[in-house]
Amino acid sequence: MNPTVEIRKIIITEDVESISAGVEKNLNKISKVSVTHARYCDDAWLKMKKAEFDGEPFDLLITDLSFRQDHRDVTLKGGEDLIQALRNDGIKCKIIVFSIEDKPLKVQNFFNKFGIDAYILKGRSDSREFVKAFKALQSGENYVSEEIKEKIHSKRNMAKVEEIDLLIIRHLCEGKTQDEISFFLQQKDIKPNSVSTIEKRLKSLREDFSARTNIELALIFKELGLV
Amino acid sequence: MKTRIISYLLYFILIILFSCEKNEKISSDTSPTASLDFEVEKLNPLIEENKTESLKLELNRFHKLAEESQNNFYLGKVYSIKGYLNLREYQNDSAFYHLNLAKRYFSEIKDSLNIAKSLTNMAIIQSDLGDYSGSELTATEALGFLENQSDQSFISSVYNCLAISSFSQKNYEEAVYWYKLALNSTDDLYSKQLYKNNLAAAYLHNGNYSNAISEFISLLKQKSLKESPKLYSKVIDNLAYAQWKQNPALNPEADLKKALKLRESLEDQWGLIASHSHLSDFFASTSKEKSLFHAEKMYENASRLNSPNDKLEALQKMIYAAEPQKAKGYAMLYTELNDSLTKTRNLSRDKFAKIRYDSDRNREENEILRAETAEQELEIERRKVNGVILISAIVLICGSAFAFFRIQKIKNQKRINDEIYATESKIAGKIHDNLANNIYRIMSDLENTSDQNLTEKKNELLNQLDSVYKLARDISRENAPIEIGEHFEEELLSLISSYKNENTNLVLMGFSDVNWKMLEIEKQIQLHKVLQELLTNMKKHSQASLVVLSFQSEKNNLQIFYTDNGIGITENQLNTKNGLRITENRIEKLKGSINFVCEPHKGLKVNIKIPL
Repeated sequence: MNPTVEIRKIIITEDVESISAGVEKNLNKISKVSVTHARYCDDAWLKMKKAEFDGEPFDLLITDLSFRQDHRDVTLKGGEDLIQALRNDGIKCKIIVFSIEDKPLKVQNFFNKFGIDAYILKGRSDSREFVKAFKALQSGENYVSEEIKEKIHSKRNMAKVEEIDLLIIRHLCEGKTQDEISFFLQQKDIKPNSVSTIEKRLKSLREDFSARTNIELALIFKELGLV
Repeated sequence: MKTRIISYLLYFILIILFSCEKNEKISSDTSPTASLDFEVEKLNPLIEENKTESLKLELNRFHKLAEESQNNFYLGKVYSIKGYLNLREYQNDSAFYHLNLAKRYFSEIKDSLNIAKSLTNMAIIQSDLGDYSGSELTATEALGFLENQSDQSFISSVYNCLAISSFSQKNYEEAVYWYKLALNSTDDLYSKQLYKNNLAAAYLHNGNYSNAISEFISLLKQKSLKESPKLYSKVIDNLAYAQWKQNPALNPEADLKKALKLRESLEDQWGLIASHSHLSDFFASTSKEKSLFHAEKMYENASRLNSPNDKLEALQKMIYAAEPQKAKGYAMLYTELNDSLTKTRNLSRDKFAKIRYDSDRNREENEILRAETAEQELEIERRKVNGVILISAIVLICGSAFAFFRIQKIKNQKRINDEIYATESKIAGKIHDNLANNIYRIMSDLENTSDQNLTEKKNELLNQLDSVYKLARDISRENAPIEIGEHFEEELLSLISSYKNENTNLVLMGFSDVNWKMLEIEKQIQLHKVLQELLTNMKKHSQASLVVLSFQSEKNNLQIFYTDNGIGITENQLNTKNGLRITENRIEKLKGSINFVCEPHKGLKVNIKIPL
């Protein structure tokens, strides 16, 4: 894939030097880039402002979220403050958040609220993830660490049992066929009520409850005290 | 014995009136009152310069003007000045009457500060005339009006008055308490000196001579004391007396006489009573003649000031010092006076009550003119009783409310402490089990790896370290603050979904039907923790492959059913599992209920109910 977005000038905000050196090493493997380091968010902000002013803005900011407090009084206490300040000032560079924070909600918030471009979780595989993220950014796409993606996915795909499922199972327990159940639902004007929908729901329930047959499914529901 | 204190009361009244003249200005000056404002300005210098006669004339003129304008503030002012004039002439009854009227007018315009001032002066008068309980009531009322007042400049005189009432009832410890309050609540140098003297006098009468003496001496060291000659003479007198009391071998005569001379030149009537009392005491053992002389002088002054207590005290001394023949006469006088004193006390008490009552009545004259006298008398009694009942009720309610909240607070604090303790020990346990142990394992692994194998081993070590890192992250996440309010639903969903893996499936029922946003923050937090606890327990111990969490919002409750198909827990395990026990505390705190259904090998079922 041909890169459509050029990323040359990068600033890394990270208070642990070995980490930021590691990131730089990684980046150099991927592409020819010039890297600036900042240990404090305040410094990063100043450097970025100056670059804007000089007409040579940074293409990409890579920032940690939490910074250890030390002797220096800081205005921007962490990555979120920094990103907020940049966005307030209308600085539109690409942003990769590089943190151990793995709460899906927080991560999503960074994408929605600040329009960041990638979120990489610090961990064993982060050097591989940097490669992937960098490529995604070059082709104008976003990137999220696999681990977080899984979390978001599993959250979105939580198995849910609804009132109508209980109704279907209850009738199943009474020994009714799916046709009979469908008929019953139609009479009560409960929708959806087609045989195919009932079949579909039962299938997904069997998967969620690891049941091979409908009878087993009904049994599990009974044992769990759901019906 | 009270003589040494009382004379200062009168001073204080003057101070209060002065300060009230100087400081009071009504803020909204409409044109008619503006002219009154101008008129009242004329009165101030007269008060300050003690020109009683011209003040009276001006005051009468001003009174008419105030009457015409029907201005409550100025009418109140007029009556407080009248009260002040009465006091100067030792007309206590009229003073009380006028001050009560002044208070009425100030009450009309809800001028709390002036109400409090009037009440304070009234309390002082009552105390002066021996109606101590009445005085305490009035002073307490004044304190009520002083609450939330920015001008606290004379709250100290209220404390002083309460102190004097306690002092006069020989409750010296109580008096010390009030004097200390008075001392601490004034910045005025003179008042400070005054209270200090009174405090020392309380010590003196409590037999605490060394405290008394050190206070008197520290007073004498203040140079400014000489600028207030009456107080100065008082301190000299008191110090000499206290030192003699402590060490009867001393001869205080010179100092006592010095104070007497000073007081004579100042025409300080109350002070003279004290001086003569002390001198009479001193001579009692050495010269009966001199002792009698001073006791008679004391009696004379006490009669002039109409202070029955002092008269009694003087008579006691006279009986002791006089010839047997004369003493008999004094003794008879004493009993007579003592009998009538109780009566006078009651009378004066009733009189004050009546004055206050009468002025109330005047206001509603038209409506209650037909009321019969008997009924009025009854009313007085009833009001008194009601007052007492009301105050006791208030005290009782405040007291029990205070106690109740205090106990609640302690209980709450204990619960919070328990929870903090449990949480801390849980975290400590995790750090030990999950982190320290693992890191130690990696360390010893590395220790035992020979240099040649190091490169091969590198990957394995990195993997191990990665797992420890993830454990640390989990501990941090479990204890991190959670998202509450708007995003709580998302937060809770993330929590629940994070326990889902290839071995365990989680199923939700009715989750999105709950109005999570409307759940109180405290409930959100606790519920989050409870579910976290249940699910962590599930992950660690249950071996369940299926968990169902069902949510039902009812009218007043939120019901949550947890059920899994794991190995279940026994009653015994339930009691020993720290985490599960905390869930009970948390739910209890929300006034909800949590039930564990323990059937081994049949999974675990938990019912939670939280009031909405």
